[in-house]
Amino acid sequence: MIRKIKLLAAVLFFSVAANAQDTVKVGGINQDAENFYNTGITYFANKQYSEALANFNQAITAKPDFEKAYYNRGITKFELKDVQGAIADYNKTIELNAKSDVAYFSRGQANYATGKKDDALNDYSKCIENNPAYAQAYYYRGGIKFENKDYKGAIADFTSAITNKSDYMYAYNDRASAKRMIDDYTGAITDYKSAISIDMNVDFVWNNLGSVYRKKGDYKQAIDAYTNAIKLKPTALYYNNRGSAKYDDGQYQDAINDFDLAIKIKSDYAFAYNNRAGAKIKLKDYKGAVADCDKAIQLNSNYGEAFLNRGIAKQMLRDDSCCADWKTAQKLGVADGKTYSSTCD
Amino acid sequence: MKKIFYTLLFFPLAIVAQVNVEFKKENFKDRKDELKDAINNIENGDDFFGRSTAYYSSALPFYIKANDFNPNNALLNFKIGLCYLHSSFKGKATTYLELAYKLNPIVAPDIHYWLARTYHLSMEWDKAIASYQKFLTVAKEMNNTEFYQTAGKKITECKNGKELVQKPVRVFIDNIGSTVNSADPEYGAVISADESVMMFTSRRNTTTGGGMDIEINQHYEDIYITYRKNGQWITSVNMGEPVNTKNRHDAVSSVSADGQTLLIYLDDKKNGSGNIYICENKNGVWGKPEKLNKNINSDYHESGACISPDGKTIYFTSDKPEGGLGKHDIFMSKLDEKGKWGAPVSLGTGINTAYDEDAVFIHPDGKTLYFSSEGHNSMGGLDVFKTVYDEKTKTWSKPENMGYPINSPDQDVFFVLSASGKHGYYTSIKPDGKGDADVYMITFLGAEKPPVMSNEDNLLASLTAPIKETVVMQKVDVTVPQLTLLKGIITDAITQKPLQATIELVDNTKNEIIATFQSNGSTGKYLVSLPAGKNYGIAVKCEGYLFHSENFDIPLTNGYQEVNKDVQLKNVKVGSKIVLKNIFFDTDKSTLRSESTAELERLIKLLNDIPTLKIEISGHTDSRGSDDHNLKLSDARAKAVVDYLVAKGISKDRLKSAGYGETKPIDSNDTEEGLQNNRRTEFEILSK
Repeated sequence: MIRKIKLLAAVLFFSVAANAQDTVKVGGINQDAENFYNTGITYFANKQYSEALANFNQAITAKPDFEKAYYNRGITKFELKDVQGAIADYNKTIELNAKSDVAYFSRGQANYATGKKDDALNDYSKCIENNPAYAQAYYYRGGIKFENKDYKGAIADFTSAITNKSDYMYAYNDRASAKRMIDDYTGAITDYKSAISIDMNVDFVWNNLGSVYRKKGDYKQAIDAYTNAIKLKPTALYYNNRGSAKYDDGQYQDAINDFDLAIKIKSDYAFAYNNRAGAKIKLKDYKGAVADCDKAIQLNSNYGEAFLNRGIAKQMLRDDSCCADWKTAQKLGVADGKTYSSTCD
Repeated sequence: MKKIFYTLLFFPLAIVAQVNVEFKKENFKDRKDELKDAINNIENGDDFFGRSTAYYSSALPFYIKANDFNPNNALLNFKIGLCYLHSSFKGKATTYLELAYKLNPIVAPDIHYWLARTYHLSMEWDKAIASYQKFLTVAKEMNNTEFYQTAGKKITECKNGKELVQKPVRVFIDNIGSTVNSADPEYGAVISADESVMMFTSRRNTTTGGGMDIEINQHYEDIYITYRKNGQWITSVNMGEPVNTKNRHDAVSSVSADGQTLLIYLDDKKNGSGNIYICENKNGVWGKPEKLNKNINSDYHESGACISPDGKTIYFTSDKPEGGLGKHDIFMSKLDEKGKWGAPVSLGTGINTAYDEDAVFIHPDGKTLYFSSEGHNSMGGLDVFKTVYDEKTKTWSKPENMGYPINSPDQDVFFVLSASGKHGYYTSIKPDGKGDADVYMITFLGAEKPPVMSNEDNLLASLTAPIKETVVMQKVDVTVPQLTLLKGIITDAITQKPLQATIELVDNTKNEIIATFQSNGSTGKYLVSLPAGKNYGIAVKCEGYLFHSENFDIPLTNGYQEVNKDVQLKNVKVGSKIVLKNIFFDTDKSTLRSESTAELERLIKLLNDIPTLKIEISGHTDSRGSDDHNLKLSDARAKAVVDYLVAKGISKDRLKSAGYGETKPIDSNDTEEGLQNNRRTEFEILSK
């Protein structure tokens, strides 16, 4: 069985704004730079980024070694989608203060945004070197390690994040996910539950908990967890997952009902059509299964699993074209396609 | 009020319906003539009923007429139930037997047994067990050991059935249609390994001699044949004499992989203790069946037999007491040095039981034996089982029930399997049949193919890129026999005339002839089954022709494949060239490997058979390596062959050796296959 895991869409929980350097005291002598700088921060707080940028520029013109102004201009450029400009300002900040933690952290964010994951990872490491209590740096470095399939490394970082920030709900969620990836389902469940105990209103944590229960073969608990996710946010994805748990539990008609709801919410959701076909196969509704697979394939012509399932249904309908479907599934990377088509003439 | 009225009205009628009504005048005062007819019908029916179960079908119409007149007679309902139970419409028996019991619970001492049988056949397991248990009590009271044992066995069968139906095997079972099946019984179908020809037994009015066996109230058995064209079995025909004999039972027992040799059951003594005969097709004509020797045939009933693909072992069933465990058992016998079947040996207690074992079939893989048995964990009657021979331990595996719905509580028998393992054929009586027993095809679907689900999760709170997780599914067993079917047509290279040639199969590793076969003289067709795990040398020989050799190295991991190889034999004439495909040298050396012996011996035999023959042995290489090296290597190899022949007594002046290196390719040097073909040892006839 192939499962696709989508990471949560762009959630930057630690707004870079929160990391804007503090305002500076304006003294008696010429402090134009500081004045511009402070005005820039006010604009930044009001999300008036262009105005903020103009003030930070003037601050730097007035005081070319103004480290904090470079940093704040960097985060302002980041907000204005000028990532390269932001990186240049972070570089300057680091040049002026090699012990800066935030500059490394923010450059890590910017590097990640441009796809330079290795550079980002190094930046987070430098940030941690400068400030071993920087929980967010551990957290984001853990995320990169997760993406690099270094799940044990990721778990270690998420653990450090939690050590430095005991109510770090997302770190609990992500550590649970990393544990899931190394088949430590019991550990994953404990962590998801810890995340829920911190905040029980985060839908995707409930969903993730359901998926681990499902992997563990505890379908009833999985269905309950998915139901909680649906109550918080009734998405096609959650209905599709709950339907799959019901399918695993042998509740084929109830599974179909959930896939129906998923399709109602998202009519182009190929996964739900494919999965509904699976449940229909179990209920011996082979024609219905073929129709659902047809739809899934229409939505995604490279959907190997749907070809495989359609072949299964066609075989039971004594339709010899099942062999062609299995061969297509094989070409699209579904290993069982080869096994099944080997029985064809 | 209305409801109460209907209830009151119905209740007295229901009481009346439970009363046994005898065929007596006082019960039918105003219907004397009809009563007389009914009694006559019962008497006529009884006349058939009293003969044997074979005549129940003749009794039934009379009983039905009498029952139309009086449906509430316990004994008549009981008899009708028994008639149906012994017919193709067994499902109809239940109603009559249940009514008979209701009308008179002691209508017959064995009423519980017959009720149990109907429940058993309709797979109402718990009801069947309960009725068998009631019959057990009766048998105990009657002190009847046989009844007691029978009921006990049937209860075990029901328990087996309960288990087996929980895990049905995935198959399609189809009646193979009216080109084979008819209202008469058809059974015992056998097929060639490639499913191109089928023979089966039937009792039709077209039987040779047209006679009826009055003991069983049916026509004599004859063998029929059909061919598969474009995926369909064409209209079957009686194979006629001499395969079939007049007014005797001729039943097909097995056919060789190439469809050219039949083993036939012939009721030659007309006393039910029939024997096994062999019948061969030569040049397109079926010969007279010949009785197998006394190691196979005894004074007892040899019901069937089959021969292993290498032709060296025969498996047969017999009810002879010597070496048997009870009823029919499976025996085997091996060909001795003189080509005669040796002393029979029982397959032993692992396979044979105190009950019937019958309908034995050895698959073209040479190691899987299928048979029907009433023993082991049968769910009722004969069930089909399989056992696999382990060459290492020299033992047969524990017989495995082929499962429901292949097996049922009724007779499931005469199972055969195509070489590919995709289709089985067997005999069954089913509601969708053409009448009586029919031949059915089983299409094996393999283990259940689980649908693959697709799911997504939001695993990381912080990141956006989706990660596809791949969970590798457990493998699904696909049972593909590990064997290669080699088939084709052997013809004269010039005239294209089909040839009856001998095909010699050699295990190159052991330099042993495994088996010899013959192509059909009228069609030139041949078919050889090659189980995986050997390096085979194949020599095609025909008098007046140069032999042709092929090499097949089939690793143990190979699945099923069919290879078509047409062979054109060349006349022994000057200039003919033959590639010796089973001559092997050590890599880059001229040392002959031991696997070459059989091929070299064939060459020696040819030279001895035609003492005037002079030949040139030539060595050839592919294009890899330097020209000089290739010339030297091919020359040394040709000389090595000549030296071998001389050492074996062939005169030196009849032999010439030459090395041509890469100068005379017979194939492309751009493909692996072409390179292999170009590396060869060849001989050419210089004079004869």
